[in-house]
Amino acid sequence: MRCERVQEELMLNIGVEALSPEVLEHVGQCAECRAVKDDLDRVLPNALSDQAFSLSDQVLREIQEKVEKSIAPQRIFSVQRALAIAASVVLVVGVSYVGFRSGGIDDPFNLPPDSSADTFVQTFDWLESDADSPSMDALFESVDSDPYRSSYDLLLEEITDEELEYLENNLSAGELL
Amino acid sequence: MTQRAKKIEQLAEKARLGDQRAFSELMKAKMNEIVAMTYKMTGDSQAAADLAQETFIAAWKNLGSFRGDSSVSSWLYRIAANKTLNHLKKEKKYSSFDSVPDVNIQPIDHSPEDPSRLLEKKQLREEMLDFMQTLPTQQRLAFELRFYKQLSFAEIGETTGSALGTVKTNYREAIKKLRKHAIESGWRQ
Repeated sequence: MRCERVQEELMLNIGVEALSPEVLEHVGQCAECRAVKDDLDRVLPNALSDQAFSLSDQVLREIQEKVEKSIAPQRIFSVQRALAIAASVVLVVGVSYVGFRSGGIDDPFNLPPDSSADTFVQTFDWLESDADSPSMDALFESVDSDPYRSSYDLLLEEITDEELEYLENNLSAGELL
Repeated sequence: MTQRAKKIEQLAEKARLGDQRAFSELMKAKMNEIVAMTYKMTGDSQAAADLAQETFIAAWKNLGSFRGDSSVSSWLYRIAANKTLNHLKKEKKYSSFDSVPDVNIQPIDHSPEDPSRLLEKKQLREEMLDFMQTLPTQQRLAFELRFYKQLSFAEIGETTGSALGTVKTNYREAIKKLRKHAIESGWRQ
């Protein structure tokens, strides 16, 4: 083997892997390569081991605890979620109870007293109570009696022949209908 | 495969199925190596701790995509390497001065040795940290993964996304520089 090759093998493998028989044989015969090997044998133990670079047990424990805390988000998340759900339930029940106690819950629309819905109800009541007006039952009955009678048919019944002729001469078919 | 390596692979398999306890065990088994790696790569113990933390969080999130083509150790080194390289890039971009090793978190030597030997090891450790910071990032990473993590060049290539020849060149250059540094500094065994 050439010295260059042997010295490269020495540098790449001393302290990590066993040297090949060829390299050892060469080193036994070559003073230059033996000097390189002796140097490395002396130097590398001074590079110490991993253990010499470890931090204190306390620091290692602290790192481990931080990692364990960080990798357990599922449990933390579940507790948080459970708390959030419980808080939501309490909030909804509380708001409902307060609403019920204040009477707001009886009127789901909570309309103001002068709203159009109230006006409609008042009008309906008036129609029912007024003796001169047709009863609501009668009105519904007249409409229901001939559902196919259109507003145009009703108009034809009431209008005079002259008025009809005037309308036909002055309005388009679309406007007339 | 050693017993320890087998156990680590089994823990990884359980963790992949969502077993958080197995992941904690795995983390405990690999924490030292990952912290030592990020520490040597950055020379900053606080950054090393943060990067180790980020590495394991990313590992947990991505365990589903770990197919077991490589060992879980190599996979963790890859994540740590990526995190560290990103950190170093940002640091280079936003800092106009070299990072100064943090003094708040000091490494601890657990071995029961005589005080003079401990002092010598402490000095060597600091010297090695200083030396590693002088290496270009890719050479530093190649040295870290080959010498300290004992990975094959092919594994380092997969980890760093570099060609085999490039990895070998980076490692060889790092070793050459270490040898020169040792001679200049008068290291003894």
